[in-house]
Amino acid sequence: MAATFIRNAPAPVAPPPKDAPSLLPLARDLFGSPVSIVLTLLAAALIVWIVPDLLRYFIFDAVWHGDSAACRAADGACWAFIGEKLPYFIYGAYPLDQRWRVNLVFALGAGLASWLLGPRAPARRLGIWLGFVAYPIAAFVFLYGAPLLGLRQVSSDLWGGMLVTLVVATFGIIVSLPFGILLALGRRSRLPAIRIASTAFIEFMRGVPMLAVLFMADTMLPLFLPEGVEPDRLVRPLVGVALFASAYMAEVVRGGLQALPKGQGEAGRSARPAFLVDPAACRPATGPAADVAGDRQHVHRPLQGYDTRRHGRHFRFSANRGFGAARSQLVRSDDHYHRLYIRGARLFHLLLRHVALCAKSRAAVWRYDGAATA
Amino acid sequence: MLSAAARNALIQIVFVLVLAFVVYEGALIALAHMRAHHIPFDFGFWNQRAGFDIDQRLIPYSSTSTYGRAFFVGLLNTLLVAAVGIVCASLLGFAIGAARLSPNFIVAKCAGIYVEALRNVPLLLQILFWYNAVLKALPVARASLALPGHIYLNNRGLFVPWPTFSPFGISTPVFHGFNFSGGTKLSPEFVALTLSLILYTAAFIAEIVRAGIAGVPKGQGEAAKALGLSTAQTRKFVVVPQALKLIIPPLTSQYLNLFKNSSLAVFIGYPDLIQIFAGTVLNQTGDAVPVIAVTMAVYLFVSLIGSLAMNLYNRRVIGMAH
Repeated sequence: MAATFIRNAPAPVAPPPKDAPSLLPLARDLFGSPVSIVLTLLAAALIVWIVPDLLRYFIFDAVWHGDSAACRAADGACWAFIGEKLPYFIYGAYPLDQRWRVNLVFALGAGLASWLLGPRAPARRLGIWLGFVAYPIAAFVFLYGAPLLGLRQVSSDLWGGMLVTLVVATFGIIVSLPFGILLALGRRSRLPAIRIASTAFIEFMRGVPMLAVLFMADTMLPLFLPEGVEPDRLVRPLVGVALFASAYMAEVVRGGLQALPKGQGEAGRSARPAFLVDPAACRPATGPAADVAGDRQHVHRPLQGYDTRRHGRHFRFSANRGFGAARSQLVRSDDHYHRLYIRGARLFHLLLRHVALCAKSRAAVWRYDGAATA
Repeated sequence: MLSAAARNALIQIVFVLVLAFVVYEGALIALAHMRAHHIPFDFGFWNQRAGFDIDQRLIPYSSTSTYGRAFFVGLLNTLLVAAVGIVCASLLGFAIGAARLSPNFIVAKCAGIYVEALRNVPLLLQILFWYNAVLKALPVARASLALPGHIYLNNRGLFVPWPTFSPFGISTPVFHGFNFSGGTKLSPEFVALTLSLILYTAAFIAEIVRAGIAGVPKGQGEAAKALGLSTAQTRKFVVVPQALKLIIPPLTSQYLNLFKNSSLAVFIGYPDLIQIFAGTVLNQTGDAVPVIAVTMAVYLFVSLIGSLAMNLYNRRVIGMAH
């Protein structure tokens, strides 16, 4: 915008500030000028117009106890109905005699969350292991059932309400963190193949509506599974949510890495030419959980391998050696948060390797079956 | 020992090979699956007769039209909601963002409550609220709510005056018999979807505007005042140009969000791209892969154009700053 302001005459001298006006500060804000008076009156009229009706509908005319006849007769909200249907809103069609299992999972989740959200939580390392690894497994066992443990199997068709909301949200959060970090590091990689693949995935997921991803998961997922295996009704949206959330999480992590001054990484590399990233990077990206980490900027953590690639002589990126070195370096540190990531990454590395091997052998079998039936 | 360059090349080659292997195996499985179930995998359906009707259409369409035509009807309906939504949400959002910064206590508080309430309720819930609890609960046509300017609201939708071109003028809706004639009818689905998208996105735009104005250092305005600029001049020449640089990038992404969120139309049966194409057409033809691919491509195309425009703008702004 080419906005130029040229003053060609001296500005008139502004009058000296008056003594404190007689009105109170609040009154001056509300009635200080004609515009302010009009706005105040309009806002007050809006409040007077809306609030009494809302109170009448939600509280004074509402039906708190009674049946459907009482609700039809009244003008207000039918809280009695909500009260009666509340168990259905929470559990869906989960069998009545098994609902203690859901309650147990809720209680465990609430306990873990209140433990881990404290900024100075005791035994955070154990808590994170429980929260991110043990809890999901336990929740699945309890909710879905394990006949071996005497827990009756409850098909996910019967799950509903708040239970499903929380299951989908928790699953998305837990899966999107590690994959989001991998994708963010991939997007910042100096290896073009990895960078292009990560960027393409992230931009694809961010460019389409979540609903389209869910439609895709719902209609296309069954195509990639072998004959006779119908993916569970709940698994399809979970896959869609995991893909979608990972892409968004990747951008959050990338934002955190970008907010880090470049000199931090450079200083880390010159001080210790292994693959390092400064914990300060995690602060904007991961919020309260990383507060402890962010306070110790002098300890460099081996979260990111790619930044050191250009220092070819020192490049030591081999998964096992890398993680081993990382561990020995971390022994001196009391920073549980980053240990979690190292271990989490290791776990995922192993997991993905096994998945890849299994997929390979399964694929060979399916192809053979396909050839036999065709 | 390999050199660093060789090792990097090796890592990339392995990565590409693994990726290609996964894609190839996935495609093989999917193809075998589709062949076994006789699921079509081509665009043969595009010119076939659709056989279903669409209530709201911006281009001529009937049940004898083709699936391809239905695609364009859905696409235009999506673009209509997005265009109306973006214009109105911007106006409302700028007004509320300004109101939140007002020194007037009551005005700022009201705007704050609006923003916090609307941002923290899922959009889908808001759409369902406006559609089921408000528009479906309106009186019948005979007892329409008459709004100023010959606008009528009832459970069949919103009836508004509309310009006509032969003869040139404005046709106003008039009630006789059982329904309105003249003017034009906006369906309850369209009204509910557009209204909730506007109200929801306006809350986010208000925050962006507030952050943008608050992000201009206070000293800038004070310096302008000290130089003798009036309040209006300070706003016009100093604060707004600098605030716009902060506002426009996140504003663009809100516009794209609104466009993508319009896909929630499915849940109230507004005939948008997803409802028509990834819904009805997919169910009738069973041609999952091409239909989903086309739908994704449309959203991706618009979003990437938006991102590209934003990146170009960003580059220009950064260039100006240096």
